[in-house]
Amino acid sequence: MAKQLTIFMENRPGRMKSISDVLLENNLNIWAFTIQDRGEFGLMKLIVDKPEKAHLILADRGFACVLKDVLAVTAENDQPGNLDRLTTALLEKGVNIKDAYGFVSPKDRQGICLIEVENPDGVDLEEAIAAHGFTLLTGKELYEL
Amino acid sequence: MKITQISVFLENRKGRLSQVCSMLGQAGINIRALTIAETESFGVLRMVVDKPSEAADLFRKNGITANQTAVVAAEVPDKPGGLAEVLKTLSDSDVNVEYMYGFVEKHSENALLVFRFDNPELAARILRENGLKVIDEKGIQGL
Amino acid sequence: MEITYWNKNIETMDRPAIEALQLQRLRELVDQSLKMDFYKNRLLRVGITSSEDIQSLDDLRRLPFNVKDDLRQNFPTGLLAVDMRDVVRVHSSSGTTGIPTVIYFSRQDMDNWTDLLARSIVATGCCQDDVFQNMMTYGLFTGGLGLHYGAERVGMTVIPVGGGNTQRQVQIMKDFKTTVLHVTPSYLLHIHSKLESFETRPEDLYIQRVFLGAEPYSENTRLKLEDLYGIDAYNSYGLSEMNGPGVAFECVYKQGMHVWEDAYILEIIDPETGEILPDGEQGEVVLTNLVRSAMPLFRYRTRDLAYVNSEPCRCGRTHRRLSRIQGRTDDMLIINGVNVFPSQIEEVIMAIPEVGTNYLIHLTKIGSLDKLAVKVEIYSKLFTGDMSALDGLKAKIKEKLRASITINPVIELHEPGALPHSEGKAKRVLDEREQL
Repeated sequence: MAKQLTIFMENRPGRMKSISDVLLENNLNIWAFTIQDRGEFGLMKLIVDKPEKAHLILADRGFACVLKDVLAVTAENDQPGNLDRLTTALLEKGVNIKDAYGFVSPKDRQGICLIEVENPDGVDLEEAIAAHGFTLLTGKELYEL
Repeated sequence: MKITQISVFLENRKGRLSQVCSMLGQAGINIRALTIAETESFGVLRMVVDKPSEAADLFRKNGITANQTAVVAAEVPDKPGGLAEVLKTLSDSDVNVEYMYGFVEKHSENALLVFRFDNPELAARILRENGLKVIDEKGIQGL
Repeated sequence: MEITYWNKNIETMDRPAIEALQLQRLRELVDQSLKMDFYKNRLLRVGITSSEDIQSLDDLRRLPFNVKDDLRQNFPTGLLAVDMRDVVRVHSSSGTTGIPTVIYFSRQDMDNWTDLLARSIVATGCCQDDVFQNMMTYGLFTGGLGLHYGAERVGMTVIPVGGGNTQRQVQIMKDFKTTVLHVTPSYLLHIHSKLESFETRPEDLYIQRVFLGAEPYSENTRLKLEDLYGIDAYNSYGLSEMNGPGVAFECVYKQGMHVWEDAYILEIIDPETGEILPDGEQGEVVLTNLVRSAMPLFRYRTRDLAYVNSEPCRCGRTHRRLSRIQGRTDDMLIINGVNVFPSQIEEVIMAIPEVGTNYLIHLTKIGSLDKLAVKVEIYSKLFTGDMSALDGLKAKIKEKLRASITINPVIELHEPGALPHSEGKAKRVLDEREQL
């Protein structure tokens, strides 16, 4: 499982900048991010190259943030239909997708999908997606892209 | 006039605080001040030690994520109203205090306060201009 | 101007007669109270063992004041003077904490209260020919049912519509040719702003008089409302501890509200010292209810600030007039006519672990209606990064607050440390509403 940094953020000018400022000061790199919006606030979700450090630094600055487990899924070949097969694989096993976003790795143009899931039955997710040709990246593999 | 504060996560693990303290103790590093944030920055242990770079290395070698922040330490007369005076001076000059913590020095009649300011240089200058003693790295070592 | 009275004898009684009546009723009240655990010792301590120790109205001053806390601490039946089976009505109002205050009425008390309201209504010139639309909240609040019973006694045609649903309110006004309203000033302003959207002009309505209450408002606002609708608007005063509405009401001359002194002993005191102030000086309104025996209250401190006008009124009534309420001695808020204590909100917030102890009550206006927003900071320790947990948290706070204060707040979640922090006493209320 990989770690995603989830930060509580008010929806007003300057909040995103205050986070990016901190990351810049500490030379931290963002691979991917998304924002789940709820009106007056939102959750900023980031994949960074040093999640534990980023977590500590942001917490030290008074942000409410946690590291959450996410699936970092990649396929052998980046092609149309991958997302369809992936969502089917999870649906079959009763695994619910709560949030998802993706990016393309600079290294070898690998498509990487980050998924927050609800896995009430404790299904072996690695196995579930491997059957459809997907692999899970470990944290280390993800951060060191 | 800034000194280095080291912070680590206590997480929710029992014994983490004593683990950190004995690690430092065994390496001959002295803790001058510490605080554990309870509300904002929950679970973050912040401390001022006499050998900050050694402490940072020690943590890194032991796989404990640590952060270094520039803070300002000032001596305040250890009497009622001492703190209030300092805070008033700062607030009069529009300097924002993000957080602070303190302790009483063993060998003097002063209390040492550690401040995190958004503008540490300006704050340190204002404190000195108002007759308060700002302690530098050497001063921390010698406490 | 033609003056009609509900009970001319009482309303135009000379001062000595009023005072004699007050003294007689005070003695009866003391007798009733001496049977109660709550009052026995209190009265004993000041040397009152029977009503004979009350020789004159000055003896009232020997009694300690009653305060809101007495009701809270004695909830539910500590101040009940009769058997519950003799209680025919229970009403309730906001407490400073989650514990509400409760008021009990016997059959005779209800009759007395209703009569005071009938008297108040007739003082404004209303009669049996009027059609009365009661737009105040029914239920445990005294505002709705109080005026309802009074209006029925006068013989008006009563439409018990309660609050809300503006379009329906206006439709009813047209269908039934309503001539009298009981409403809050802010809601009446709000209705006016919506008339055009209902394709109605003020001239299409039949309203002649409105009774305004439940929230403070200025003379200018009264004049504005009278102008907007082409009506007469009358100020009223009451509080549930003193029955409800009907403690004081304006007559057709609208120069202050007549306090019905056969039913209430009115005192104005310095809120700091408790010293009695002369007529004309502003102070805290203190009332003794002489016509409710199920739950006696002596010298109840209302926390409302006002002054007394003892000049004779052109209407011929000899009961002195109370000024418009000028303010409060405490921090109670009035939001769309509902009393809310910041401590009620604080009590709810503090019991929710996922939010910190820093919160802000933010009051603004949307048009003429009040909007309540409660801003809280999430607590880093319990932040899980789960959006549905945050949705659930907002809903939980909203529901718990609504259950406590009865109105619907907007809840806003903020970052830790984002709300104003103050050194010293926290300023918890930001009231940006323009005074009505």
